[in-house]
Formats: sequence, structure tokens, C-alpha cells
Amino acid sequence: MNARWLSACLLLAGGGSAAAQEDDTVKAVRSDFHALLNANAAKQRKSPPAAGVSLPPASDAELLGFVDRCWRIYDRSEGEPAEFDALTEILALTATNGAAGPRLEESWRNAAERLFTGFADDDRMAGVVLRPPAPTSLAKQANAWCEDVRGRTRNPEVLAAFEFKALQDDLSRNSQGQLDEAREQALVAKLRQLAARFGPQTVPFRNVTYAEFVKNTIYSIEHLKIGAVAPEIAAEDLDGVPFKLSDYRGKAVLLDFWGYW
Amino acid sequence: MFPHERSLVERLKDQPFALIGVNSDSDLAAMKPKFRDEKITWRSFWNGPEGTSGPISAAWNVSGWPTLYLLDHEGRIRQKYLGNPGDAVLDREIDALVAEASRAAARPAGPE
Repeated sequence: MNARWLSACLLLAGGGSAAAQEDDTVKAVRSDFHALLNANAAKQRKSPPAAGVSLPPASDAELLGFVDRCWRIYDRSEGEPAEFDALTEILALTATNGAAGPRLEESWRNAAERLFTGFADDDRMAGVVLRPPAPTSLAKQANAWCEDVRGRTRNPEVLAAFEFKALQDDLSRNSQGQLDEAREQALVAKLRQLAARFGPQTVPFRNVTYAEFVKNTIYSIEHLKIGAVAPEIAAEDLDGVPFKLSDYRGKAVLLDFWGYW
Repeated sequence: MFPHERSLVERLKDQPFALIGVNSDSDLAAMKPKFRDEKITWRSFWNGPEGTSGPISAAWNVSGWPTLYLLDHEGRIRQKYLGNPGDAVLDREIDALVAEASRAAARPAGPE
């Protein structure tokens, strides 16, 4: 039990919060945090701030409360999966508003040091190096930590994530139809190399192997390009009635991949 | 996005235009009342119970929501957007494609 944990307990003992419970989890932190964001957004909709003023999704004080819960989980979960989850959650929380006050920055630094030095060879580091969460003031430090991991790691999942990260700009331009023919071909060649080196590894946040991802992406470059006839969609509508995209030939169509969540 | 889409559907209701969704909510039953509240009346395919990992978004290699495609009256892809490009851009591009579709429909049918 370290000093930080103790002081946090004393604080909470005063406040009488349920969050002091020993069975608190990162999942619970995440769900409580989302509830807070929704509540804050609803408040802002009800009484919008003055014109030109934009309120952050959560205040620093609110964020610190959640960060402290994560530290408590971290302190009692050495060697368990929750240890990693608590650290990454702290990085994500401190990055919420872009700008962060000194106490949030300090927590980011402490969590980043533990995470990047302790988990360089962990599969889960792949997602972190692909999108390292950081307040804007610490983005450079985040990149420096990633480079440090790149030099040390031997984990193929993590190495694959670095190769994948290098293609992000071109992939995003491609998905908006903004790559010319030459850059498109260059991207296809790089994707083939990625699949050849890291075929069996998993693309972070996507739950597919690089082999599948590359196959699908090359398909989309060839069949979903501007000027190509759209692939058919034949499926059910929201009432279970089957229909086809080609039923709408003769009309201009806005096809919207959406969700309410 | 939804308010502008409602107004598009209303404004172009007598024109050769269709807004077709691919809905990627995994729990459709829970969401349907919200669609009614938002007056989302246009037709959507359902991406299935796997939500954003469903078969349609996978086949179209969709990596972010919303992703928008504009198709012309011959079913060709004319624009694609990852994220909403803004109401003005959408209006301009859609109006151009609707005009093309109207011209094609007005052309007298004759021997090829």
C-alpha cells in the first residue's frame, strides 16, 4: 500500500463515495465516465454557454476523480490485466479535453512511464502505440515514448502496429477518394509488404488479421474507387424486409453508414 | 447529421434522390424508439447484430462512422466521405447528381 493510495482513501473516506470499494474496476470507471459525459452534454444542451464559449466535455476536477479511481485500481492489481487497463485509462482520461491542467499532466507522466517501460513487449501495447492518448501539451512526449518502445520491443504485434501506423495518412486519404493513381499503387505495394511480414498479427481496434485487412483494403481500393459501380448490397431493412441497393438505379443516392449508439 | 438529412429527404422528395442508410447499431430493438423520436424515416439496411463489425460495413471496408458515399443514377461511386463533409458540400454534390439523374430521365428512350 503506497502513500498515494492512502491519501486517496483518506480523501474518499471524507467524501463517503462508493468508488472507494475494493471491487472497483476499469470497466466501472469507464461506464461512470460515459454517464458523466452524457450528463454534462445534456446540461449544456439545456443551458448552452454564451456564444464563442466552448465548455470542455468534463472539468479537470471531474477528470481527476476518475484518474484517482484508476490509480487505486492500479495500486492493487500488480501483474493482473487491470494494471495495464488502469494505466491506459489514465492516459485516455487526461487526454479528454486536449488541454490539461498540471495535476492531470503529472498523472499522465506517471502513467506513461509505467506503461511504456513496463509493457513494451505486451500484445496490448500495439493499440497504445497506434493511438497514444495524451493531452496536447504532451503529444511530443507520447511520440518519444512510442519511439522508445519501437527500439526495445520484440513483440510482433507491436512491431506490426508501427508499420501500420506509418500507413495511416494514406489510408485515410484513400478512404476519402483523395489519392491519385500513383500514390494508390504505392499504397497497395506497402500494404502487400505489411501482409507479407505480419499476416497473422491482429490490427488494433479492428479484430481482423493484417492478412484480412490488407485483402479487404486492396479490394476497396479497386472496387470502391470513384467512378466504380458500387458493389451490390442485398440485405434486410430495419423492419426485416429485404431490399437491394440497385433497386435505386435511376436516382442519385446518398449511402450513409450510420449508427445511433 | 440527422436534422440535415431530414431536410434533404424533405427538400428532394419529388426528385430522383434517395437517402439509404446502413445502420450499424447492434441492438436494433433498443434503438428503434430513438429513431422514431429523431424522425429517421428513410430506409436503412441493417448491418446485423455484430454492429460496426457487421458484414456490410466489412464488405465496404468502413473504418469510421459516419462514412458517406454518393452514387449517381447509374450506381457509380462519385464521392466518398469519412465523416460529415458539411451541409453545404453535401447539398452541392447531391444537387449536381440529382440534376444529372433528371436529365438522364428526360432523355427520350430510343434505339441504342
